Amino acid sequence: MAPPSPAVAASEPVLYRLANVTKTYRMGDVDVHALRGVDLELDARELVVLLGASGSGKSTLLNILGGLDQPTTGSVQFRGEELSTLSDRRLTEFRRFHVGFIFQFYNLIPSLTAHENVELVTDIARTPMTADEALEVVGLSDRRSHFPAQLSGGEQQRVAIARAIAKRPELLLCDEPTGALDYKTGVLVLDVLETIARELGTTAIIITHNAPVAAMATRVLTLADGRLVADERNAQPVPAKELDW
Amino acid sequence: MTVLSTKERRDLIALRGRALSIIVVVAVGIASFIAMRGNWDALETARDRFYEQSRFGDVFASAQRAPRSVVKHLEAIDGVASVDARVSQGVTLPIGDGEPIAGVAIGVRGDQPGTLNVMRVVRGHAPEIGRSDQVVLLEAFAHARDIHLGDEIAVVVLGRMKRLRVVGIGVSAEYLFTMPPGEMMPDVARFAVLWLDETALSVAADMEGSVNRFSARVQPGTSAERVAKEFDRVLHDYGGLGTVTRSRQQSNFILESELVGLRNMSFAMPMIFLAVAALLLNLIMKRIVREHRGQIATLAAVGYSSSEIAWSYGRIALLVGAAGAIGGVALGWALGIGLTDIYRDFFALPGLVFKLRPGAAIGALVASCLAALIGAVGALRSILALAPAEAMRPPAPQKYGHGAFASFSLLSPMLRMTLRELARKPLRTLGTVTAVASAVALLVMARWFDDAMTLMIDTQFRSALRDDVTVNLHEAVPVNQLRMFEHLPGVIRAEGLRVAPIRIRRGNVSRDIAIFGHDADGRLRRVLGKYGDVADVPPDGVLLTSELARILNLSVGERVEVDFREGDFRTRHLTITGFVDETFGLSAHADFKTLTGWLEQEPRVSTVLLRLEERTPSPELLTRLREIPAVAGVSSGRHAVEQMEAQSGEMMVVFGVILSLFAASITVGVVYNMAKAALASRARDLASLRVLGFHRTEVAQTLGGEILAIVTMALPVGMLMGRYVMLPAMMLSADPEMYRLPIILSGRTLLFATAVTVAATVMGFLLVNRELKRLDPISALKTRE
Ligand SMILES: Nc1ncnc2c1ncn2[C@@H]1O[C@H](COP(=O)(O)OP(=O)(O)OP(=O)(O)O)[C@@H](O)[C@H]1O
Ligand SMILES: [Mg+2]
Repeated sequence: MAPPSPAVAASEPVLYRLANVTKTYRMGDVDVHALRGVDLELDARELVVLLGASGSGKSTLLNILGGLDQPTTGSVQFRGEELSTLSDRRLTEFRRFHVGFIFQFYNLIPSLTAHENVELVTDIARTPMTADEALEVVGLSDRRSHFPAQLSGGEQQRVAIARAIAKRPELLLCDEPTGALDYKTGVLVLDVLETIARELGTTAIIITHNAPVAAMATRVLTLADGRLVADERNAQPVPAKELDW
Repeated sequence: MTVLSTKERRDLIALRGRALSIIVVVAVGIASFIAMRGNWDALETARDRFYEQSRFGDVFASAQRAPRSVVKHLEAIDGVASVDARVSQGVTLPIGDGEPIAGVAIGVRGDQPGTLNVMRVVRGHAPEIGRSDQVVLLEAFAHARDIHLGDEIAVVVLGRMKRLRVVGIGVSAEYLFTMPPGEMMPDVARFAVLWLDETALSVAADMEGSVNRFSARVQPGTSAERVAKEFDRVLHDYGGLGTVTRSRQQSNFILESELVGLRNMSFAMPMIFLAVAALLLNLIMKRIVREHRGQIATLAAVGYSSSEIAWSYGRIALLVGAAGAIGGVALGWALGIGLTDIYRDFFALPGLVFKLRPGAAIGALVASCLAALIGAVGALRSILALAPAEAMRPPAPQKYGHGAFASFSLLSPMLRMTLRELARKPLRTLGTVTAVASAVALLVMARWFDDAMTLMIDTQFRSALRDDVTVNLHEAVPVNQLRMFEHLPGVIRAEGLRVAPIRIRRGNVSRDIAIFGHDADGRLRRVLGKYGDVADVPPDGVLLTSELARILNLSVGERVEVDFREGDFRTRHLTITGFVDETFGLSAHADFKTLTGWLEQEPRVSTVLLRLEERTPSPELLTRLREIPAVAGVSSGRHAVEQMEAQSGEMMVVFGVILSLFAASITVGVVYNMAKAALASRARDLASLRVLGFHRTEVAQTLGGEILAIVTMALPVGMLMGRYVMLPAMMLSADPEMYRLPIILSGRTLLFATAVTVAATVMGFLLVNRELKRLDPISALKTRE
């Protein structure tokens, strides 16, 4: 089973179809139910904001969507393809070719420069932009040969975004991308994400603790205690630049 | 070049100190392999070539006197390819005004086809036919005695002094090693080999028309043992003195046992180092993978497969292994060439050139990489097992139980902290203790030879060889001649010893050895065990070296067949009355009267032991001794020891120093790595301590505790390991038929091992301390992960 090609993708509006997804962690004698049956359909080109209290299962859900983790039960289909039964190899290919991750703590490789951190992805992707192009997008061309330790938090997060978008992913998964940033920098980062998602036609899922951020989304999902408790569509998303919190 | 390899390179650079310390350990192990293996190769190649060129025989025999026609009978033996028969004669060289030296003169008659054991002239020329005044001298002897081409030497043949001109210096496959008669260690300076024109020698030795020395080559596929038996049968009527196959030919036997030892060591030594390197890599790689959890997870998240990631880290380990191998091959090459220079003095083999075989270098590379991978495999497996999502969260805090040390509440908090750290990772603790202990054991090994020799020489001269001068006679003389020796100047006591060649056998196993007849009232020579205990020689029966008993599978009270190669040449069944743990060679001991009773009507002595007023023989005494026709050679024990120390002593000192440096490299490597690991894992704590106002020395102390504990444990463990594992293993690789040195540890050795280990520890620690100085509190606090 080869990963679906983008050509097929355009004709299929439904990107993800999740049915009764649960995730249980076994900690010694106790079962921790991180997800307790999530049903969900996501369309292509949506900008989703995922809200919820700490421990409600947001990261768990995002990891499952991104092929970093497998559900305990239930089905996760990406363009009709069942992810939950994929082999480790296939899952790696899924991540390699389709998903861009952005993490709360940037997760740059400290021993690589900004440019090289992006190259990490362009080395293995199928139709990537160049690392320089990607850095250009996030406005960091002049910092290309700096190491993460020589960059501020916001700059590091922008490098992480450049790394995530360089492969032209169909999916951008962002786990609290602004969690460690101040307001101004946060807005800057969200603006970059929004612009890229729009220009590349990428579906983006953003986890945040900042409820006001939801205003920029076309769809807002809320998790509580491992269950999807709210699913709102937003016809008039506010540009990230105009967000206020 | 991919970015992943850039990352590997930078990771490696960040690790440089620790990587380098492992590279050194690998390099040292590989160097020892390359140096020893290359010399083994060189020796084997040179030996094979030389044996072939000089047509070295498969079978060697001697008899008292046989007509030349006996050759036809020998040639007729099934499987014999060619037979060489010669004249040889025991001679004495009264060199200068020193002790007379025993030697052998061998007849040569030009380059006839079919000649075996061809002597090769390296300088000058062979004796001209018909010239009775020309001689070729064995190179090693000439070198040791500073005798040169054109020199004139005096040689006593059958009591007649002859003056001979040295016209050639030669080498021979039969005499790569020489051993003075009645001694157990090779000594090139005290046994002369001379080649004379055969006709001239026949006249001088009263052997015209006769031969007494035989050698044969056998046809391919023929058993040399069988041919040797046939030789014994044919030569029996001519006073056969026994036939040996090549494997028991004295020089070859010594060479072989050196080669076996060298080969075994060339495998055993590198094993220790590679094992330590693997252990260090294991520690480092585990730590890196733990530190890099986040990075590894990130790589997985952006689409690298876990095997790609694992392989990327595996390459770091491989690079360390490969770098060590390359450095080791280079170092080994240099060491090997140096070692060959030493061996060239020790083995008189022409064409001995160190050669680095590509196979050995490739083998070294493969072994190093394999060791590196074995070391890394645990860490790599944990990369493969790491679920990418799980890796996104920080590792769970280490579990510190109160554990076994909870009750030691009396201990200082520092000590408790250290002990907990050690107990928390028992495998790691075990590994590091073992690594340092093996270094200690190597140090013990480095010093042991000296200890063993000292003890041996000590006990030998205090209790066994109590004569000041040993006089070997060409032929046994009646006991009453002892009185003549007693009257020599400076002599206060003369005792006789009867030594005779015998073949001792049981079933198919046999050995050609000497039997010693000890006078019951004798005081100057006693039979000694390994540890200096005196054994009583029984009035009846024989006492055997216990190694011989093992070879022949004999026990006390049993009877053994003994063929006498002197006197009446009869075979007797003798009762074994006991065993003795002698250090060198294989021998049998009997009471003097009993032995001479077996051998002859009238008791005779073949060796005279002298006790002098002054311990060293006066020139006057030596002059008188040189004038006695029956005297074959004279040696003084002290001289022998000096010789031995000069010869093997120098070599052992070089070996000892190199081995000590090697061992120290392990300790430095382990200590440096441990301190470095402790520094890395506690960099934040340590920086915090600094920020809180602790002095650097106080911070350094918290690092030192663990190391101190490890080294303290490793010292006794290593000494025991050296005593009970390494030394016995090393003795296994030495030929027990040649020598069985006692396995002992002296206080000096223990002190030495401790001192070197402590010094290496301090050095490893100082290297880290330097980095501790540079530890910038701010940056340490900023680091995450
Ligand atoms: N590897 C794991 N082992 C055990 N329990 C886990 C594991 N990962 C997550 N959990 C548990 O599952 C639950 C959901 O975790 P998750 O990380 O998805 O929450 P979250 O909504 O992302 O919270 P936050 O906003 O704090 O990041 C939590 O109770 C968490 O403790
Ligand atoms: Mg989370």
